[in-house]
Amino acid sequence: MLEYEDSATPTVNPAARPDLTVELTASPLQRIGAFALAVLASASSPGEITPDGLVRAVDRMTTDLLGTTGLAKAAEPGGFWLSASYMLWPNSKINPTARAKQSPEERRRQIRAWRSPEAAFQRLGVPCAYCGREACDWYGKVDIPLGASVAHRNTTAPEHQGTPLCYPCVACLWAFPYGARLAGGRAAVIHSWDDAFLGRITHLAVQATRQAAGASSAARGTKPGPYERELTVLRAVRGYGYRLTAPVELIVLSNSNKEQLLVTQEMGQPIAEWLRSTVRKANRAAGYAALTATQATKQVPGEAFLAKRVFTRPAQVLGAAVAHLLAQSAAAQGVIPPEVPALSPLLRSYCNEVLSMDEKDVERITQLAARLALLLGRDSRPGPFRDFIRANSRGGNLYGWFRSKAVDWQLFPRPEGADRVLLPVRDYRLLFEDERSWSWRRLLTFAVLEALAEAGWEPKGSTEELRELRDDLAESAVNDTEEG
Amino acid sequence: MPQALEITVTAPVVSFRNPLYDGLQVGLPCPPPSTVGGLLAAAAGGWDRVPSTTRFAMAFHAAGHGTDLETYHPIAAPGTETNTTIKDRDFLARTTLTVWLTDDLDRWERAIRRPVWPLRLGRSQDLVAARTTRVELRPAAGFQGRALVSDTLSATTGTRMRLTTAVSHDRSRTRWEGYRYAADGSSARIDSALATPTGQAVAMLPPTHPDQFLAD
Repeated sequence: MLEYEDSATPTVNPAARPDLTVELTASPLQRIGAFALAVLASASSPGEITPDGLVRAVDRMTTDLLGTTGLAKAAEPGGFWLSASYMLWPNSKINPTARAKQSPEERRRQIRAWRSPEAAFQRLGVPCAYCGREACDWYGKVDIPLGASVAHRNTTAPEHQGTPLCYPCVACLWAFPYGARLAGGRAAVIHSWDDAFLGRITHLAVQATRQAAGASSAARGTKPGPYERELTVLRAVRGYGYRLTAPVELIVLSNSNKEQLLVTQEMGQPIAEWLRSTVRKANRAAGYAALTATQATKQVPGEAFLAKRVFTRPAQVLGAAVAHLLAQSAAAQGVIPPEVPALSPLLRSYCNEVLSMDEKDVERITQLAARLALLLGRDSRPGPFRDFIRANSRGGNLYGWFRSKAVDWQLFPRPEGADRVLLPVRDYRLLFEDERSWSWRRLLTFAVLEALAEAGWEPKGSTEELRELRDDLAESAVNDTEEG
Repeated sequence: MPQALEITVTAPVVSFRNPLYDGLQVGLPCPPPSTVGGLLAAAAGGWDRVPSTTRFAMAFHAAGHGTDLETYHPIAAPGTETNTTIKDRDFLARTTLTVWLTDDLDRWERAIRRPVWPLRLGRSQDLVAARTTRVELRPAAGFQGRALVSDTLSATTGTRMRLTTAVSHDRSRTRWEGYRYAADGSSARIDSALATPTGQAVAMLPPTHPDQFLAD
């Protein structure tokens, strides 16, 4: 059963345990751990981990922990896992209260006892809580991220003394931190039910974690940028080479005694696919830098804020882009910003693919914008354009504006083939009755800017008129930026 | 046309705990099928009075959500002391659960009108009101709306989740399955085979009866 390479290092003979195989379960944390374990075992996927590879991977993790036994404090070079242990494995054998009084040999003995491979041979006669195979032991918070103490019986089955787990599943939980970014007292992980993506992303995470653990000293004092975790996910998604078949989750957690914490954010699968398309489709890639610029604030870089918004408020991406363009127009006395054409394919595809706005309806708004541009662009006075922007801002009376302009449209000599009606019923419903009416109105503003830019329209007028236009555009930009 | 019993269950506040994180009180956005199966079993008077083949379709809507504080009383292992503490707990507000049953309609109608055990959803203190109506189903695809559907159905949208389908009688076994749920509703048309007169998809979920573990 057990083989001893030396008197202190027991190892498992995998041949005696052919059932040491890893199964993916319903737990995101176990799944991340399973893929991390696969990397440590040099297997291509959890299903490919051999019993021998599993034992080797567990041994490798134990060796990492044993590397801390000679250290007095976690802050010393090489103290990565000791430092992380307070957040991951509180009250475990790596960081007992009496650790300072223990000798390195005593610490080694305690860690080996905690991660003993002998558990692999035990049988409880009850199924593993994750995979349903026979469990080998009872486990609690010391081994299960976000688990309960083994002394608490609220959530365990009658007579159970903790959570029953099999050896491969508990090994996955031990491997979980390797698939995470451990910083700032938090473990941040990317999860998806798309196994291929999860495998790829976890592989990269394991490499980064092992690199951080191997560094002679932790990079201290480096303040993380705004929404750094969300930005990491955005970049991972954009850099992924295959179609994503499931949403992508960002999970931030802590298992510390001070505060057990779990925060999960989800990036929808359509958004993830759209982000990938901004790398792979030439017309979208060209405008990506312009789009990220529209998302920026004084405090937050554009791509970081884009990353945050695609997780929490996808509709805000469109609103922020239009607000930015209005602010740019205000700065240039009403002149349409030059980046409008480059943004067009991005924003239209975003409306269609992410905000689920029907392609035919997007086309309707585009045609409506063309009619409005004909009306507004009749002369170069800034007044009519200013009135439209004001009416289509928060608090503006767009309905009243359309009512008066519909008359103008009837009186105005229309180009051949142009619709007789300025605002058909379907367009009206989109702008005023649809549950996403604000998004449709933002799209209309953008499409009007685009149509005017194509027509080469520029406002001309007295200094007073241009100043009023600038002020109104600036006010609209501020109102539209408000989270709402 | 096939007929269904439509059960509408309403509650001002409910909370469905995610059992994967037993150190925290993490909430699910909708009840798992095992919870709804348990509610039906309470109405019938226990699992012994529920046919093992019973299946249902369900939809769920919460008008709001939040996090409150709850006093947590750990049950201690023999010989150990534990301290009562305060924990965050996610909750859902102004909720409506709709369940469609297509078999034993008379029996279920009687059970919901005169439930044997008090009907609860989630926590023991979250009592609910339930009423029934008969609806004619159309043998057609429907829109997903706020239905909880199996993720094996094609064209479904919403968050993919692993939820408990069934729990064994002694609570030592759990059957997990993949589902999709769009809390804000989904306009996706899904191949549900049945739909209500309003076009809502009626997608039957796997059986929740604990007897299914007896065969394992």
